[in-house]
Amino acid sequence: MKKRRTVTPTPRPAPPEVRRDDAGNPWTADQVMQEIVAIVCDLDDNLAPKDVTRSDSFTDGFGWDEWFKMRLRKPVERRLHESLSAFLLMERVKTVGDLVDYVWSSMEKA
Amino acid sequence: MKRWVSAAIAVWLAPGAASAQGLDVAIAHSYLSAKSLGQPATFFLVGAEHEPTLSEIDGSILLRGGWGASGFWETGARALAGSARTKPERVYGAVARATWDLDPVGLTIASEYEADGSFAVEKGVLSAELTPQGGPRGLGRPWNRTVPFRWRPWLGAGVGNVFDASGSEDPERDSFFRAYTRLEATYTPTHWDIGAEGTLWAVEGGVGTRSHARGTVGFEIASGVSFDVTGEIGRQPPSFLYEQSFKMGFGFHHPFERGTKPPPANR
Repeated sequence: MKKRRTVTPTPRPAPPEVRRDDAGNPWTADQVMQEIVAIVCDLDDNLAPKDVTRSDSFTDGFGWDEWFKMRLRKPVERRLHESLSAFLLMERVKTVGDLVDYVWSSMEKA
Repeated sequence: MKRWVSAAIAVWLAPGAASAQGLDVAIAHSYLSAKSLGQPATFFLVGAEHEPTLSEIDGSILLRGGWGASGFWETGARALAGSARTKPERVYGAVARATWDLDPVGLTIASEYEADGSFAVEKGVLSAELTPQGGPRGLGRPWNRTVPFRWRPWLGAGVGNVFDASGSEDPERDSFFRAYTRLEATYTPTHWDIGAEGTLWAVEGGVGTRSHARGTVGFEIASGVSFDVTGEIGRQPPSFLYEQSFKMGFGFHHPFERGTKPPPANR
């Protein structure tokens, strides 16, 4: 007598969470990360996307000074449609991951 | 009396109550420029046989808070003093200033009180300063991935008033106008910070220009503590006395950036 094989269905991975920027565009966390990496590389031609990770510090890692870091504000507003205050950018955003997390937390759940 | 009034005005001008985004503090070499804020406050001891040991401290403390979306304010005080400097060579200052991101430049409007050590020279200055946020290679960012050299220029102008009688070498004697340009360069291989900063002033009065240059080599001993060698030459406000020095000592640096994560946005 054959034993019946019981097949337990493997749970499907949950679809990535989608959030909307202030212009209503949908984003996943990975897409936010990719866009911020693209912004960083557009600003500094010393960097290629493969060089940029979440843990990279803008000052210690990339060697930017405070004023150069300020240049992140406008592209983030233009491309991710999220506002970023100059004070927060200079004082609290230390790494690429900090910026991704802040922009992601600024977006509304879709 | 006037000096305390002007210092109080400088601090009062800082819109401290306007900050709803927190407050941060930095301790560094001076608050005169972004590079200066990256350099440690220094404490030097100068000794010689059969001579008393002399000291020099060069530092500033600065508070910073947010101001709207594109700006921030700062207020603080600085001192270049100690027994190794004569009273006329000492410099004290207090500042209140605001900075805005006007992409592609940063604009700073500042009011500063500055005095020498004997308070024989006291001045109040209202100034505006511009720096490009980015541009040619090395401006605000490393020259390339292997050469950690960067530079930054500044252009500023100020109007001021001499509150107290000026020294004989001071071209600023009453109300005055001064324009200046400053260039900073820094080379930062691991654990080292090698920097140079030069400033050229065009001052109103009988004499045209004054200049000052400073070079520093620092080696990081521990986080926030370094061994520093500094050389400087030239004349700087408020009294524009000529000085030339070479010193070694210890530096202490507490930068603004605390490394705390930004708060989540309010949603």
